Amino acid sequence: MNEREIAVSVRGLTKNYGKSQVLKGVDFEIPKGSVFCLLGSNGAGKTTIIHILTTRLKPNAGEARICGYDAVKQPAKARRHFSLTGQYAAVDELLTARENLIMIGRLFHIQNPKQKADELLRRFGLTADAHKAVSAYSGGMRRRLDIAMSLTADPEIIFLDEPTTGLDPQNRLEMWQIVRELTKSGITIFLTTQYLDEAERLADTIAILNDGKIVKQGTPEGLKSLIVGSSLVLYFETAADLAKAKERLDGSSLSADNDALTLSITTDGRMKAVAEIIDRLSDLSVTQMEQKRASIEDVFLQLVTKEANQ
Amino acid sequence: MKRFAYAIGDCLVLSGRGAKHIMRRIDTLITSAILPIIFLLLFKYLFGGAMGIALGDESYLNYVLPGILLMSFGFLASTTATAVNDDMAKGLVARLRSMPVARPVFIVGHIFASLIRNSLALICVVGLALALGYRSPATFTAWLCAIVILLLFALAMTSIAVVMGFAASSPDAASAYGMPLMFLPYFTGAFVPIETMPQALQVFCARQPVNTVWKAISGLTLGGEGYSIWAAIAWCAVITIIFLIIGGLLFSRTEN
Repeated sequence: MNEREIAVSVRGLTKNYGKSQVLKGVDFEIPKGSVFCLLGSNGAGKTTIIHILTTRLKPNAGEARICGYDAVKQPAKARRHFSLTGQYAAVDELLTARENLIMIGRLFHIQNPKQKADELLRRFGLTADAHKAVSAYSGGMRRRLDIAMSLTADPEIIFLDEPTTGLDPQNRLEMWQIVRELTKSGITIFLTTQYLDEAERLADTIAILNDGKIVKQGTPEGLKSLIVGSSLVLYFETAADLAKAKERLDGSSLSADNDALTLSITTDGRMKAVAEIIDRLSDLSVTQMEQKRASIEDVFLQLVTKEANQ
Repeated sequence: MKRFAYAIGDCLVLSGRGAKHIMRRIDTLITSAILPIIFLLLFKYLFGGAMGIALGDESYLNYVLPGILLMSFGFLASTTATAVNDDMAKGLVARLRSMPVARPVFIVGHIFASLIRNSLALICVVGLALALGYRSPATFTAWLCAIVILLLFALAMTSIAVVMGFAASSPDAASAYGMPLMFLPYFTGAFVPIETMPQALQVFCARQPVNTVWKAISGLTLGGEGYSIWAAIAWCAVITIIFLIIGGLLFSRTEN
């Protein structure tokens, strides 16, 4: 790939905190204008990578470049090209949405901070609430304002660190919509998430980070075999029934909790698969059943099961 | 030159933010004035009688006013420490850090807000003291000089508070860290003459910077002798510079 077409490049990145090695040699490249999703469980090192790329943290070894600028050696230049939206909406609660946007615009020394603020308020549907103090905003509105603030200086790359963590389903859908609209403007998006469906819906490239290394990388289609729909959790009355269920479902991706008497089964989420499971276990003492959103743990479970079966 | 102009502009933007915060947190502003007023009433009516006799029929209100002002500035430092830490906890510091702005500018907004609060406390306490019978033989110039030193002392306390705000793990902890600053003026001659203290304490109290500051303000407002305006200014400046440098480094540090 041509150097100029690369927004972010990371080579051999390692990071230790004391004796524990958080990153063990991470490599990836993100082409300009694409959506890159770093998928990993809590503590996999996603935020550490973001902190290094956004010049907040120094790596122990390796290289991180933002639009060709070294994040460690040329942090001031790198900072001109990206914008960061963290896990918490970094907005000033005592100011109004418009005041927040104007403040950031002025600090970026842009030409018309007020005009830019109004434009962003319109774009993110906040015009009606522009003069309300942010403390009165809902979680979803805060996130929207947060992203609007990140776009004030027209960055080339935007880092969204777990943008849907802590949001309810409706706000999550709204956030997905915002990310999709962002891609239309040609901006490069670096997204982190713990959720598979999120990565699948939004990303051009997915990289799975586990234990400080990228274990898989590819397009959502390429990783299709890993994309599991959801997991079904069954609650049993007796340990004997739980054992029987495990026996009957031999071969599926299972994880049992013998203390809580629960069995988690990874499925493709289709009715047929669920019906088959119910059919096989219909005479057992299942007290409750619930479907859970597939998380990265389910993917690993699937990966491990596949390897074991081969 | 352009960078300098940007830095000045950034300072104004963040000072504007500080001013808006003060206006929208009226309760914080009111407590900034009320506690110093309570200190004043406490020392005038509770301790004033006994202390006046002990000082040889001198007005204790006249004696204690500079000490109350210094203590009020120490108390107000907690508010700044909390505000700085709050910005860290809310992610605003992280946002500013990732922006190409002149970085230590962030601190200026907090210093500006703090000086407004301190000035308000100063006006309220001196105004009330005058109403309660405080009289100063000092000239206008001497008072002006005293006010400058008082504001420099407020600046020094604020700088320490900024560092505490960065160092604390939560806004509550930041507030607690600020508290000891309030008690520094007790270890001077501001409330009782140093000569009445145990020997070891006398040695410490006579030499600590807050005593130098207190002696200058007390000397200027009551017309005493044996004080140095320059020593007081130098102490405030040294403390301010050291802590602002530490604060600037803490703000713009890249973690290892």
